[in-house]
Amino acid sequence: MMKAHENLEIGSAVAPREYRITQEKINTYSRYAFHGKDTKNIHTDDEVARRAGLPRALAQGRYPVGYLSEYLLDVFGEGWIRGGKLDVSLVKPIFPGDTLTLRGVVREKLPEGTFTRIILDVWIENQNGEKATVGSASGLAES
Amino acid sequence: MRKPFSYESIQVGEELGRKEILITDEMIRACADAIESRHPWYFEDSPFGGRIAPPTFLDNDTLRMLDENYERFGSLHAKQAWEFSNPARMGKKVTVTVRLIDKYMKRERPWIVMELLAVDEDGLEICRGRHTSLMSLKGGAAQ
Repeated sequence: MMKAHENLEIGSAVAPREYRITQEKINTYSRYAFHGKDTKNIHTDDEVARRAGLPRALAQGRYPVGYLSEYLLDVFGEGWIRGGKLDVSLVKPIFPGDTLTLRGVVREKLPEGTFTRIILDVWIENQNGEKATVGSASGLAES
Repeated sequence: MRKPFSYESIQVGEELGRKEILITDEMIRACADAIESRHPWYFEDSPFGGRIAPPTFLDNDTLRMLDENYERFGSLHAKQAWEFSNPARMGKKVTVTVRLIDKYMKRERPWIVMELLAVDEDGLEICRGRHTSLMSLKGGAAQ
């Protein structure tokens, strides 16, 4: 487990991570969600999306949440698997063609038993700098 | 028989389902592929002894259980929270329970909140998830 003082001082930024979203990646996620089946839904089919009042097919809300969890696993390691917390709002849709950048900044450190809980502001922004997902996350580190 | 997916028919406190899931190699690979992760803890070994699943591997089960009970035509995932307590080890059985914990009207639109709890065969809590969705999309099989 990482040490609380290692590279995560209050106000410091975690190295960003970038993902490019494609329709094929969204389809892969959809197949995963439907146990390997190809389905037409608002994420895989523009026409179904338009019938639902959306401009076109868009990524599943929980799909970038999975990205965030992987990002935070690399920050906290074991302290993410045992003690990780994430709370985000999905404020803007994510479309095929978007490039997402995941970011985190250390907001606070709090003692928790024999550990230190490190709390981050986290967000995902698109290629226009617009925030698509915003919230907070925390993990445990050795004190 | 599935019930109509309406604000009136949703019952706060209702258990949507409970099922036992065996964590398999196939499941871990499908989830990791969907979120573009090649983390060695999923494919080789982890500090917890053996391979583990990505922490968000149950991210589709909340809606799956909702869909087993209600004729959902569409919803919009707006918020997601996770708390990870222990690793989900390959080969372990996990009991997953999903419950409707709240519904409310905000800006004249209906919202629901569901909670997922996963406990492994040793009685260890693996994770808790809280999923908030807007109910009102029409015509699309949303995920």
